[in-house]
Amino acid sequence: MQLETQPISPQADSGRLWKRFKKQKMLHLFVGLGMVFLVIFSYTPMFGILMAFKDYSISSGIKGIFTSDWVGLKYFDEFVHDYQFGKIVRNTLVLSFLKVIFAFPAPILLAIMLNEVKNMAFKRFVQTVSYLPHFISWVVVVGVSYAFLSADVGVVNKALMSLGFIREPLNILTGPNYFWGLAVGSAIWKEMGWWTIIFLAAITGINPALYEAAEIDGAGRLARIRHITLPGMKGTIVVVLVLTIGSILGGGLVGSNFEQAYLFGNSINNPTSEIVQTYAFKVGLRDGRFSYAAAIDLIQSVISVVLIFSSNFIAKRMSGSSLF
Amino acid sequence: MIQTRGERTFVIFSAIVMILLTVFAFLPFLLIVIASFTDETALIRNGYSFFPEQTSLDAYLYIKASAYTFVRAYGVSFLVTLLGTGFGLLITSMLAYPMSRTDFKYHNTLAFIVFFTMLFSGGIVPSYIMWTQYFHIKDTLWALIVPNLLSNGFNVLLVRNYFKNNVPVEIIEASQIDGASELRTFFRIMLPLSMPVMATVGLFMGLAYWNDWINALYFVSKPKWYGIQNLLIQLMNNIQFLNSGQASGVIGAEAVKLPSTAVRMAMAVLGIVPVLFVLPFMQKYLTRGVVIGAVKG
Repeated sequence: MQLETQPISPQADSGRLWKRFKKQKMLHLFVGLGMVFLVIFSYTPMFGILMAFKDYSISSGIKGIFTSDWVGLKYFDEFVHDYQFGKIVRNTLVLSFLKVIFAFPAPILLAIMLNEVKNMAFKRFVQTVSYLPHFISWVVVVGVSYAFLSADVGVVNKALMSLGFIREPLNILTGPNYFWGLAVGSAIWKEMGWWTIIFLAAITGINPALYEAAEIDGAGRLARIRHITLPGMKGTIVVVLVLTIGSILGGGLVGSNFEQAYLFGNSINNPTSEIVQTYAFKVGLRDGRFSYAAAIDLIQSVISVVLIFSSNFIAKRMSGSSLF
Repeated sequence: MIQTRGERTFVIFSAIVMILLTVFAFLPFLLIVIASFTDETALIRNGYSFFPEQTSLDAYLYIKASAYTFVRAYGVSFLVTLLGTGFGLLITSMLAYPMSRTDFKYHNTLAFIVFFTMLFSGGIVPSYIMWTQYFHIKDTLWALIVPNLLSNGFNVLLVRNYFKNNVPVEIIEASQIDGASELRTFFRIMLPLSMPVMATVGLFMGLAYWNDWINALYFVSKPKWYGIQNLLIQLMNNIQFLNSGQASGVIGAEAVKLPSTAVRMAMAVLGIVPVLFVLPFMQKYLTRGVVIGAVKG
């Protein structure tokens, strides 16, 4: 049997190419299988975006996507003039930005604190307990929040009232004033410990000699955090930030906006909880206005792509590290 | 080590913060367990409490009385999680394997094709129409499994990075020199050497399936295909459904007083228990899998 030890160059002659293809036929089969799934799951629905520019009705089935009449930007125009447009766009943007501002730095701070802990048992314990909430579903989180925050039977309201901070119970779960705080707070509660794993790993990768040298030079704990730990985490922070900003409209990395807005949402807090995705779901899958919903969805997808490319570009320019 | 005042403040402050965080992360778990064992009348009179006046098993007795609904939802969730994770892992690793082989011509193109799906998607409406109009998965078990099989490009790239960085090329070359086929190399060499990442990604997928309720929201209108999460939603929205004709086997339940607030918590407990049961077994792989796969990439 002949061994292929020479590196394979792209300009290999056709005979060798064929031989390699035959040798790697299993790899091609793997790829083929995977591609079938990728094409069906992710790429085919992209053609469906056409319907945002057409008058599609579900009765015409799949081929209706191609045969129905073009209407240009009619549905985009309709969305902009929708009486709920202002509310929905504001809620989506506010919720997304609040999450980046508050939920993104939280695990970085926790990771820095954990790194300074010398007692390994305590460190492990804090880490394990704090990432436990990541593993439960938003459905359960909402169920649990009822026991804590509900106006009539919630523990928090009971405690605040008996301590005399409030006279009337707060309608945290239903009041429109509380929804953003509720969403951001529960996102931090659920995901902070989880993302700490990644940042802590980044810190572990820092050369310990740097810390020793800094200590000899007389740098205190805070100085070491500022001049060694933070710069050492920079690459990871940038990558996670780019990912967060790219998916910001969907909720970033700390829990999907859709799940939160749908499960915590109700008719009373609707003025602050209705977001683009819940609205698209309601008008699309529930009311059957597919073209309209596809148009609404498309706006969000396009903005997300623009966000991820621009944040990546800026990150590359400013810090030298980037996602791609 | 000599500490300045600022440093001591930092140490004390961060210790307090971490202890508080740990308590906050843990308390809800404790409360729902206690609440599920609290007597309903005490619950309504005093609200939820860590120190209930009166305990009772009513919530669990109620669930036992309408066991059919719960056992069925559990069964659906387990089946979906098992099948979804199994197939999902297979497809993910099979796609990741050629991408990890630098002697495979299209490995970079392939990585981009996967990566692109993470950036842009057609949105829910086109997917919904494809799944319902062409594949007709509405109100079938497939609706809960298939749409999520390869929905996360991140997992593919995670496995790819692990294959690439942690399994030495020499091992693969050696196995092929010894005459092992690609298939054999993959199943007998690559996969066993990649246990940490397989366990990690398997855990991600399993969790995603176990905790998923959105596919049922999109594609399922019959409660008989509800998994545990959707049953919980239904219960939260309307505890009365159990008394309607929808759920069979609940006639016996009427004998038991309806402990609606406690039942929600008992259901939440039942939804969490399997996850907490699996977690300790996965934990030793978790950090290694995530860190090596994600950071080195």
